[in-house]
Amino acid sequence: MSLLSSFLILLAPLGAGLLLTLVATNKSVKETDASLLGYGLLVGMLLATAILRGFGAANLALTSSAFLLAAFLLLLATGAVYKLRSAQHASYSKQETSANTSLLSQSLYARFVFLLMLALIAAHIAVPALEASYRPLYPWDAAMHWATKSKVWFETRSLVPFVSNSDWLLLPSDRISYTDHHANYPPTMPLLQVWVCLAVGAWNSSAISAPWMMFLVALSLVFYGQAVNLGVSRLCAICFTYLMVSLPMIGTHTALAGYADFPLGVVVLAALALLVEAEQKSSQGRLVLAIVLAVWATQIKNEGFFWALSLLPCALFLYCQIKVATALTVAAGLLALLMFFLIPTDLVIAGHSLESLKISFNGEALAAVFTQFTETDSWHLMPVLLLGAFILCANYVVRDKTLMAFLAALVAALILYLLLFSVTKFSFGALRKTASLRIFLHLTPALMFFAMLVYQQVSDSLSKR
Amino acid sequence: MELSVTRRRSGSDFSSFLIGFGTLTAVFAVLFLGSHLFASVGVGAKLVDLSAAQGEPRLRTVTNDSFSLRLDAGGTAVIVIPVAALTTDRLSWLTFEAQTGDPTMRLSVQQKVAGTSAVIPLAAVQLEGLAQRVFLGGSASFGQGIDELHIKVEGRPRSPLTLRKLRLEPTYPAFLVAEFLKSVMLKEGWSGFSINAFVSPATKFLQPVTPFAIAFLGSLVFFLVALMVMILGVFPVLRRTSLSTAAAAFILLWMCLDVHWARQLWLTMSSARGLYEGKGEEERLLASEHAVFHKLSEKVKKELENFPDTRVFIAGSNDYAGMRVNYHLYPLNVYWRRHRELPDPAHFRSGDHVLVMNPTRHRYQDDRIGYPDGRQSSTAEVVFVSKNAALLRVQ
Repeated sequence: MSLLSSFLILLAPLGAGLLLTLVATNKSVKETDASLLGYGLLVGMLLATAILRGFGAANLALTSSAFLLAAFLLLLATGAVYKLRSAQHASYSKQETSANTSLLSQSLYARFVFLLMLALIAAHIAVPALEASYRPLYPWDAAMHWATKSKVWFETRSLVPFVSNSDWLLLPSDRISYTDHHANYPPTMPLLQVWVCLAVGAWNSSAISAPWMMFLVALSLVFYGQAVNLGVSRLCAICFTYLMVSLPMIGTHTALAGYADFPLGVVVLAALALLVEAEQKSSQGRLVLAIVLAVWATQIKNEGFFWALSLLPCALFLYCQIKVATALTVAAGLLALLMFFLIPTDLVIAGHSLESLKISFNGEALAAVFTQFTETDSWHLMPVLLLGAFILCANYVVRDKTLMAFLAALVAALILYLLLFSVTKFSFGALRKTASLRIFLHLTPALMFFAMLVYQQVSDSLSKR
Repeated sequence: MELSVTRRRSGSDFSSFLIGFGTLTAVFAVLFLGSHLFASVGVGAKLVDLSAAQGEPRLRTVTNDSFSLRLDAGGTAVIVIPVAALTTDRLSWLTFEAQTGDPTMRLSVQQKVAGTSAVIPLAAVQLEGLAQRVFLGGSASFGQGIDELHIKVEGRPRSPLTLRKLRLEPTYPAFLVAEFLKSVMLKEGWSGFSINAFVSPATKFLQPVTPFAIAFLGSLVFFLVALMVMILGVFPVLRRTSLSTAAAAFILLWMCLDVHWARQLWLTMSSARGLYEGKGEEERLLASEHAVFHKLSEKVKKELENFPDTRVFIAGSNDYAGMRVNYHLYPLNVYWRRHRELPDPAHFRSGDHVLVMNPTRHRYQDDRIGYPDGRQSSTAEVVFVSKNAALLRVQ
């Protein structure tokens, strides 16, 4: 495997992802900014998994050369679409230029702080990424049910099915299937590990951490870029980007790569922010991309299904009158509650059935969910920041559709989060602090983004007085 | 949250930021260079052997302060520390490093009063990370005629536990300050718990008052002032400046916590670099904490070279070891279940392989694999036996 083909295997899907993002947002290559690079990276990773899924569906061998050929063809195809689109909309995007002033026009103080934050962000990306590049696969679940699949798929060069332990025992001897602790977990993260190994040319227990580093870079770019796109000042955006990447839970999940929680958090934020931007700019392309990312969230971890559902209230508040949206959201909540009593208890949704969830209220676990924020150092001062944002937002949400939409999605998601750890068997995860903090990571980037929007509103309203 | 609004204000804002930044740089310097700056103090050098303790030594340690043990078949063990010669009411901190592969393991500290057989519970130990620090002085009965401290260990049967640097330490203020600084500079390292939460050594030291709690109080004051300024509209002249200053103060407060975390990240990255840099995949696996599992799985794979499609069942009551060997054995067609060992013997087919790892509840007797409830598999032959594992082939 030559170095060039290794790079091409990695870069071709990412290039295609960037081109598709440019097409969806009606932008040209020259207009590429932080958010487009971030979304390009995410869409590129999505395309890499899509290519591998295509190989699996066609029952083709997963070889580096075949992947390179497919990725290159995809790059050509997206390039052609981009060329065609840019010819049709030559100067379309000029009206979308950000109202944000450039950094050079800011005071010396602002420029100093901006560069300081940039350096800190770079350090918070580089150090855990370096650690991940040295250390062989470390954390528990990563070796128990994530990298198990990628190792088998890469070594056998085939997307052989994984089935539950009990099904595996009953398989006839002529059918080859594998099993692990959670055979029904979505395949995205293992597929991304296979992609990296195809580039390396061998199974490498450190290189398989590379997608987590990509997600961290994508998160920084999307967070900062979308903040600027939605009217947040560059200084505020960079400060909040630093606050977010410096969170110990995010650093840990990059350094000890292997869990799907952090990537899911990145995709949830990306989908939510893009949904809001799509409405602001009346962009169908962005809307489609946001929906694609929301669907992708369901393929990263089973909980992604519920976070994708929580985007529905956000869409309602963006595209309907507040009264209508409120009525529809309440109705949807009641419908969900009704379904809770009506659906068969053995019906499996997103990997779980009511029967398997063992529904019963656990007040102790609910208390543990809240105390976990003060008993550990996992979040720095984020709980204070969020508490302040939720208090202050009351003054602005009614007047600001964007804030209201964000709030609707996050409140829906937080209700689901609290239910998960107070009325299901997963309450033990809160009591033993083994899951509740990790699962909160799914919502952390979106919550931090919301806090940033609120504080920007406070700043704006004060400057108008 | 525009931090600089006017040129007129930016001068004073810039000065205040520089002061804050200077302070933070000093904190950074102390944290990152601390081990060099304070190396000559050598608190550890004052340690006195507990068994040789005379008079009233200020810092003490037990003999053999580093040892390994295994829990018994019932999953318990008790470590006895004789402390009769000490004035224990001045030695109210028990510190040690603990390493175990059993995530369910629980430790508690008890005291035995001289002349009685009564054992009184003193404190429970949260096994999070390597370094443990237990405050014993919280119990009213602590120190009254005590002649032994007991560390009761409970977990899975035969689980291993290694204790290092077992020490009893006093509580005088200067010592506490020195210990706090030490805890701030301590390298936490990764453990099985790290992926779920980060608990810094400083937090463990300060509990129940944590750095977060201190910062939380600071932030609460910030928010109260901010609310007064912004919502109620008081001090209109200061309104805008207050927001800038408050935002800068909040970020600086955040950065103070982050310095500690960033240092931990840097230290773990440095040790990973030292351990793995320049090594190939095989060398890295052999240098890692999972080397023993990798070696075992390589041995199994070699034995099964001629049976690429065989099914391999893993039996073992240590979930972590089973899970790790399971991962290393792929792409063999492996079966391993958490909290359980082997499936019903009816599920075995001729040609299947069973890797039995110690500790296990299964027994190999009369050419068959025995189950705890008395059931037996069909006959199985031994492929190999090593110190902690055996590979069997079902006939």
